[in-house]
This record gives sequence, C-alpha cells and structure tokens, in this order.
Amino acid sequence: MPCLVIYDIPDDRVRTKVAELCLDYGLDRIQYSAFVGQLGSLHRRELMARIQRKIGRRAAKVQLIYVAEEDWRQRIVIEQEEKGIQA
Amino acid sequence: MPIIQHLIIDEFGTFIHKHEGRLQVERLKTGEMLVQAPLMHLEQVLIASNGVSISADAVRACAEAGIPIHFISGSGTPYASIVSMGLVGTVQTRRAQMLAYYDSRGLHLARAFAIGKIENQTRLIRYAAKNRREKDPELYHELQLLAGEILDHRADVEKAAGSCVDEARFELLSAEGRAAQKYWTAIQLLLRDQMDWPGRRTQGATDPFNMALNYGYGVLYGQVERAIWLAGLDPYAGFLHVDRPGKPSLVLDLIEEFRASVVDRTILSILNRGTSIEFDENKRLAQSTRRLIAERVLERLESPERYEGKRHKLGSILQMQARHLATYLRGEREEYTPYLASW
Repeated sequence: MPCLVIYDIPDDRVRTKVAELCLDYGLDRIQYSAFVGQLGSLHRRELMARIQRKIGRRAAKVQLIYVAEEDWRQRIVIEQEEKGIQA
Repeated sequence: MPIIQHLIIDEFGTFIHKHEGRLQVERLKTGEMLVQAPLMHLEQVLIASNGVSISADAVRACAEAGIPIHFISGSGTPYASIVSMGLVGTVQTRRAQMLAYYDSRGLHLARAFAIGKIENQTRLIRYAAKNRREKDPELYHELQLLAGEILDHRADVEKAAGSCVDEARFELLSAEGRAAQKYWTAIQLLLRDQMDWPGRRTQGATDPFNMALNYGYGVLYGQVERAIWLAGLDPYAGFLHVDRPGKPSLVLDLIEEFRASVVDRTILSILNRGTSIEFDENKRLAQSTRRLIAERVLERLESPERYEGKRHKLGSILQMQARHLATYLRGEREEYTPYLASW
C-alpha cells in the first residue's frame, strides 16, 4: 500500500533532516516536500515518531497519507522541463 | 526506490559509504550515485569486484545492524567477510559445537549432511527427468536409472558407524563421492544437446558450465556463512569436512544440502532458457554473466519451498537449518534432519 508523506517545514535544517529520514525509509522523492513509497504499519508509526523528534518544538506540518494501490495507479501526472517559447 | 535486501557491488572503481540511514554507492571518477540502499531493508552486502572501496562508517553501520559484508573474487571464491564482533561471542553454542566433534552428535550431523546432499541430487535429477519424459523417453529412463543409483549410496551413508565422526569419515566421504560421480554423469546427459561437457571440475575450470557452477557456489557460500554466524556457530569447525587452518568446514558441511536445489538447478535453468555464458578478454566470466548468476542464485533463495509443513523462502529455510544445527548441538533438539527439496 503506497504512502504519501508531505510536509511544510520553515526551518531549513529540520526540513533537510526530515527529507533524509524519508529516504532512509526507502521512500522516493516526487516533489520538493513530498515522498512516496511502500511502508508497513510499524514503519509508518516509527517514521512519524522519528520525524516528530526531529521537529522538536518548531513549526511544522507533516502528513502521512495512505493511498490505495488502485487510486495511486490512476493518478494523472504532468511533468516537463522548461520548453523554449516558439515565436 | 526499490527495496534492496542484497546489495551487490560488481563494478570496478566504486565507493560505498554511509549517508544518514543508507548506504550509497558512487563511481569514484564521476561521483555519480549508482545506487542507494536503506540499511533498514538491507540483509547483506556482497562485494564482487576488485577496485571497490568501503568506508569505516559503512562497515560500522553494517556491523551494528547485523549486516555482514562478503567479498568474493571474480571466479566466485569467497576470500573475506566482515561481521559484527557480537556474533563471535556465543560461547555456549561454540563449546557444544567443539565437544560434539568427539561424540555421536558429530557423526549424526556428518551423516545428515551427506544424506541431504545425496537426496537433493537425486531429487534434482528426477525433476529434470520428468521435464523430458515426453520429448525424450530414452533420456528420461536413463536419468531415472541414474537417480536410483545415486540414491543407493544413501544406505552406505546410514551404515557408516563409529563412536565419533573421525571413525566413519572415510566411509561417509567415499559414499558421497560415488554418489556425486553418478550425479555429474546424469548432469552430463542433461547437457548433451547444449554442450559436450567434460564433467565436474572444481578449481581451475575453464569450461562455461563449471565456471558458472563455481561462481554460483561462491554466492551461496556467503549466504551459508551468514546463516552460520547468525546462529552463533563457528564456521571453521565442521564435522563431515576435515578441519584445516583457514578452511571453513562447517560452511562446507551445511552448503551440501543446498547446492543442488539452489545453484545447480538455477544454472541449468539459465542454460535451458538459451542464455549463453559469456567470457571477457581474460577468459573469465563476463561481468554481465557474473551479475546474472549472482542475481538468479539470490532470487532462488527468495522463492518459497515446502518446509516443516509450511511454505518458507529458501533463504529462511537455510537460516532455520543453521538454527536447528545450533539447538541440536546444545541438546535442545533430539535430532538434526537435512533440508530435503520437495519437487
């Protein structure tokens, strides 16, 4: 079952640490502050607890969202590099 | 990122280091990151090339997480492993292991390893014969006959008697050797259409099939050694194989019951699918072939098989066998039975 982890963290150092934690749990970065990957329930709780410890008392908003396999497959993606404007 | 359980590094000029909770593999020249593996999912690291370096931090992280690092040469010969110090301090188990050599437990184990080998060789030949029943009935019968002859040697193993393994070793090894001769004759017949195979050679083999087998055994060897370490046993104190300084005879003992079903079967299936075994300019196995063999052998260990009435991954069965070995030695188990492949 894919999990989506998204966050808003103003503090640069904490934000970097949280991103590293997501990578340590084998998640893939899909946006600057969004990660996705397969996590069992134990690892989900563990990851969120570790993120909580990293944040400490600073401002942060972190969400872990569970996505059903089927729904994840049906996502629609637009992704492109900058294209030159044709005159 | 994919879940990496077995990190195989087989590229020259690479560097393994730790970053946060992951191992990262980089090309030294360009600094390009080839792969990153979270320690969380990692079970072992297999370094299968020269020109690879690893940082002390990476070694330490692996040791702390109980992840062994194995080094194997280009021909598949394991030459070193790095394991945590914590795995060596298992005195009770080791003491039992050393003492068992001098009593009936050692003989019981040596017999079990030899029986496991002979049984699984027989089963692999019967399995291969079944696949040829329609296409080549003559070959099918020939193989079935040979399988029966291999199995005949099981009785010789069971008859080997003595008060300890030393007194019975000669009989055990000669029964096992005679069974092996017939087994490789059967393999020769199986390969008849693909190649004119000269028969089994261990060291200094120059033909593709033997070299592939040797490489595959090298990969399996690391897995068996790991299982033995994790069970708290000493890899150097075996029963069936004579101890010599620097010879990990317990690894060689336990590997016997897995060779046919893990490696031989895998290499045969690579050949049967028409994949050819490639060489490099030095007449050694090409990197692509080595990678293919390592991956297929490790994949085979991921595949489920029947064991004690349930289905388990072959790799877990290997680990459980090593644990059974330890519990038998400590007297917490009545007997040790080898793993028998069920096809």
